[in-house]
Amino acid sequence: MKKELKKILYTEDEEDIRAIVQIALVDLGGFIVKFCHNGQQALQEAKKFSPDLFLLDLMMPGVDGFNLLKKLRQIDSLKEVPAIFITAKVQVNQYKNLGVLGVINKPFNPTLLTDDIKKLWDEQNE
Amino acid sequence: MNNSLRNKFEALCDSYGQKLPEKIKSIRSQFENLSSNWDFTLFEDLRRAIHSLSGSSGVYGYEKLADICRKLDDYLNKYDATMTLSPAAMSTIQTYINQMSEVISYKTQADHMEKFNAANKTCSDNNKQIWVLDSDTVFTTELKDKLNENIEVIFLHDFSSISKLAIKKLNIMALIINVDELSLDQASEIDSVRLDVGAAVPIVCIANNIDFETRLKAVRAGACVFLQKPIDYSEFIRIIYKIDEITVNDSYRVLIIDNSISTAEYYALLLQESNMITSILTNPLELFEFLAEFQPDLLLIELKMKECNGLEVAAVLHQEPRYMGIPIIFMCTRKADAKYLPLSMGEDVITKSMLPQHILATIRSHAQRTGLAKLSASQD
Repeated sequence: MKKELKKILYTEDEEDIRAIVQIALVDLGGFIVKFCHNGQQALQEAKKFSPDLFLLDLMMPGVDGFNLLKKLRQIDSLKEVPAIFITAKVQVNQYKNLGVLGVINKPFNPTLLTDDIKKLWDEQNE
Repeated sequence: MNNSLRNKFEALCDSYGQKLPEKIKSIRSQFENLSSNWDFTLFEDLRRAIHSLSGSSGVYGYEKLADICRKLDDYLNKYDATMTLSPAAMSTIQTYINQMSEVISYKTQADHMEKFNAANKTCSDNNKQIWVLDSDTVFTTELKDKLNENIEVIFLHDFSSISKLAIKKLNIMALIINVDELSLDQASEIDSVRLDVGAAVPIVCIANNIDFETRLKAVRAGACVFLQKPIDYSEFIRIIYKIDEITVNDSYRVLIIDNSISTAEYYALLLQESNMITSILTNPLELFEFLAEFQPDLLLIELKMKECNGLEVAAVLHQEPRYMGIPIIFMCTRKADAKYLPLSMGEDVITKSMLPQHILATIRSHAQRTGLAKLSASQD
C-alpha cells in the first residue's frame, strides 16, 4: 500500500525561496513542512521531526545538499527516508544509491511544485 | 488558488521585486571589491551570490535576470583557486552585472506576470509598438487582435511615411512591411533609412508572392525574416517576440581579433554600449585558447594582421567542425579591399570608415539571424 506523503523536511539557505516554497507546499500543497536554513539545522531537527521526505537544495554554504544527505543517512531512523534535490546542477543517476527520487530543476514553478513532488513520490511506489 | 492566497503570493513577489536592486547593488559592490583586491574567498562569495540570485529570480518569474545570472554563474564556474581573472574576464563580468541592472528595470512586471498568470506574453512598462506597412486590412486587423494589448500597432499608410520614421525609437519591436507594395528602389531606401539612424529596429517582410524579385526586395529592405501570406499568426508572433528578445536583451558575445589594441578597444566599447559582451584577442595564433574560454557568438576579425590575415584565421577556424557555424565579420581599412573579398556563408565585411551605427547594424543583423536560426533549429 502506498505511503501517503505528509511531512517534508526542506533545507534551503535562500530565504526568498523558502518563503515562496512555504506558500507552495504548505498553503497550496497542504504538507507539513519543517524549514531549515542550513545543513546544521537540518541535522538537529530531522530526527525529532521524522519526515517522510527530504527536500534539499544542493548548493548551500557549509554542508551542501549531497553531504547533508550522507550525514542524514547515518541516523538510523532516517536511513530509508527518500530525498529530492532542488538544483540546476545535478544529474540524478549518480545519487540513486542514496535514495534520491529525482531532481526538481531550479528555477522551478512554485505553483507546480506540489505536483512535481507528488509525481516523484508516486513513481517510487509504482 | 483562492484570492487570499493569490494576494499573499503577489505580495511576496512584490516584496522580492523591491529587493532586487539592492541585491544587484551588493553583487556589484562585491565585484568592485574583488577587482581591486583579488581573493579567492571573495570570488567564491560573489559566485555564490550570483548562483543564489539565479535560482531565486527564476523562481519569482524574473526569467531574463535568471538567464543572465545563469550565464555568469556558468562563466565563473570555470575558475578555481589557482586562477586569477584576466582584464578580459573582468570586463565580461562587468557587462553581465550591467545587464542585470538593465533587465530588472526593463521587463520586471512583465516577467513576473508571465510566470504566475501564465498569460500571453506582455510587454515592457514602456508600451512597445509594432509598425506595419500593409494595405491589407484583413491582415492588419487580425494581427492587432492577436497581439497582446500592451503592444501598440501603428499603421503606416504609404511608403513615404517610412522615410519619416522615428525608427530609432527603442520601443519599436519590429517594422512589418508588405514588400508587394514596394518597388526595388523603395526597398533599398528603407534599409538606408534604417542604417542612417542606427538600425535598432528589426524589419520583417511579408508578401503574397514568393518570386525572386519579391524576395530580393526583402533582402534590399534589410529584412531579418521573410514570410509568405497567409500568415500563421501564432508562429508570426513568436518570431516577433524572439527578434525583440534578441535585439533588446540577448547577451551576444563578440570576439574581436586585431593586432591593434586601441582599434579593438574602440569596437569593444561600441558593442558594449549596445549590450553585447566582448573580448579582445591581439594575437590570432592564440585563437583556439580564446574560443574555448570566451565561446563567442560572432568573430570580428581584422583583415590584415602580422601573424596571418583574417581570411586565413577564418579558414583555420572552419577546419574545426564545432566552430564552422560561427559568423565572421571582417574589418578592413579600404573599401576596395571589402569589394573583392571572397566571402563564404555567414561572413560579412565592414570598413573602418563606416559610421558606428552601420557597423552596429551589420552585427545586429547577424545576431538576429543567428538567434532566429537557433529558434528554427530548436523547432526541428
